Amino acid sequence: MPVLEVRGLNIWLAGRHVVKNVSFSVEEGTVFALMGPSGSGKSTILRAINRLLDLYEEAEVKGEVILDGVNVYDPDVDPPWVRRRIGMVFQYPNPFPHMSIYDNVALGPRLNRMVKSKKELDELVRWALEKAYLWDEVKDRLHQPAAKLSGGQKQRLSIARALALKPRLLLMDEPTANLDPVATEKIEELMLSLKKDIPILLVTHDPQQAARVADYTGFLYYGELVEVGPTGKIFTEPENPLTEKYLLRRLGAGGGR
Amino acid sequence: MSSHPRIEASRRIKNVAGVAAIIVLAALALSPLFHIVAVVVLNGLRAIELTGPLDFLAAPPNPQNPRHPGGIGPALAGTAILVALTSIFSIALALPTGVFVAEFRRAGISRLTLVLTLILVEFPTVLVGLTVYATEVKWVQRYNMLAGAIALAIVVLPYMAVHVSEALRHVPKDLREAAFSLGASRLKTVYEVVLSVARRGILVGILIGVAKAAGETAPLLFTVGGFFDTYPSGLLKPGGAVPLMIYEYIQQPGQGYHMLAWGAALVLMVIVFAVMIIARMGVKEVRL
Repeated sequence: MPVLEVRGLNIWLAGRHVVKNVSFSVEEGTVFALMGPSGSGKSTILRAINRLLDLYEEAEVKGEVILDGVNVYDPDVDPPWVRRRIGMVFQYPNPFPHMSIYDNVALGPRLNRMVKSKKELDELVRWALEKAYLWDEVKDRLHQPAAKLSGGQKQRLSIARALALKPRLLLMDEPTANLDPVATEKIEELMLSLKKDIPILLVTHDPQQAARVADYTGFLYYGELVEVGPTGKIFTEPENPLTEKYLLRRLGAGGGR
Repeated sequence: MSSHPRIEASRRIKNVAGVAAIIVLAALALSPLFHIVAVVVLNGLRAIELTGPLDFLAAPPNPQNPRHPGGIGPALAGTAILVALTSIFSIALALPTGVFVAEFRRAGISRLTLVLTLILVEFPTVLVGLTVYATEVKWVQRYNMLAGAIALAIVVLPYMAVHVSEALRHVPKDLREAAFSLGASRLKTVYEVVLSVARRGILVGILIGVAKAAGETAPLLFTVGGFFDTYPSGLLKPGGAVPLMIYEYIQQPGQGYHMLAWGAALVLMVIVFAVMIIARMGVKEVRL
């Protein structure tokens, strides 16, 4: 059974039909990349999956999003329950600027009463920071403000913050769009090591990134999922001429970040 | 590249003239402020010199004797009490109001609250005083300090609430999304993240409200009574305040009264400026 299955997802923003009948699934141990030009609805799909779209009154969602067999849009399901089980990393590295490095990671477990003792929390924070390849860089300054970190470190802190809840799925919304190539490489390595434990749904406008890290890739074009398949197949023998056109233009221009 | 000395020179003259014109016009626009400050300082210093700065702040007034005019102690104590009470009342109400207006925008009642708050900002303050007179003062059956604090709180509350909601609105959307994505409820998101991120803006709003409470006269006209000779003896007893003392004393015949009023004006100006400077220092301005 896939960890996440999206079935017939339709989204309207202020009456505009921005996501049209999208279906795909994310399997255990894999990275699934949703690629497509900006404005094609990629981020909106991510926000529908963890029900962040609930916060925007102009958004309307129809269809099924099934996480571990539970439809997160079932009326009995509590949105915070969904969000606890799905981690999210955003396009702009956004640790809470008023909190220390430690408190950023500890906030999720504290909010959701996941730990009973300080010791348990310390261990969880260390585990998450290690998982996010950040521990060695910050272990001596855990109680300094998160705002002092570099852009790449901030993004890895955001990843650690999401990991501390031990999510079943990690959503990453263009996590390297605002990072330099060195920081980007580190985040991509991180994705490859994380996916064994936590499958990742990655949104990117950079086909080369999808080619580097994703096991499966879907091409989204103006709200429609044009093509889905194993990354190798999408990049070498796309079935849809639109996909080919997109890849050729983007690959021909060197990807472009 | 060849340069053309004569054009360069004429350009420089034009440039200097333009900058000079801007400085002169800006000075002209600010001149009323400088004038007020200068007049208040010059006139205010006389009484303070005669009594001595510390005594002027602590001693009761002695307006009949222009050579020993005394101080503004009781009125200053009244202002301190009024500002403290007003701050408690208005902060307690403005924080939840600001949060409600900024964070629960979907609810119709939240929009209504915003509209009412904005109307209250422009509400004539003398009417607030009158309303408190017609209710609390009638009920207690005498002028009292509590009535003054209630009237001031009604005047200050909308300012603070608007500042709080503006400060909250400036918190980036993705910080809220991050908090929600950790499973936080709406209230937890506000409490753990939004309020802390916006705390500087909120503090500015509170301090501006405090400065306003210290400087207002009209809400006190029919509420606190206006006793400037004796220290306030209870919250349900009459008392005075510095702006009210200025208003009353400047209308009396006699040099002693006028000296005291000017001295009180200088003290009030220093208090309000100090609070405003603290509020603005190192803090991004939050606009109404």
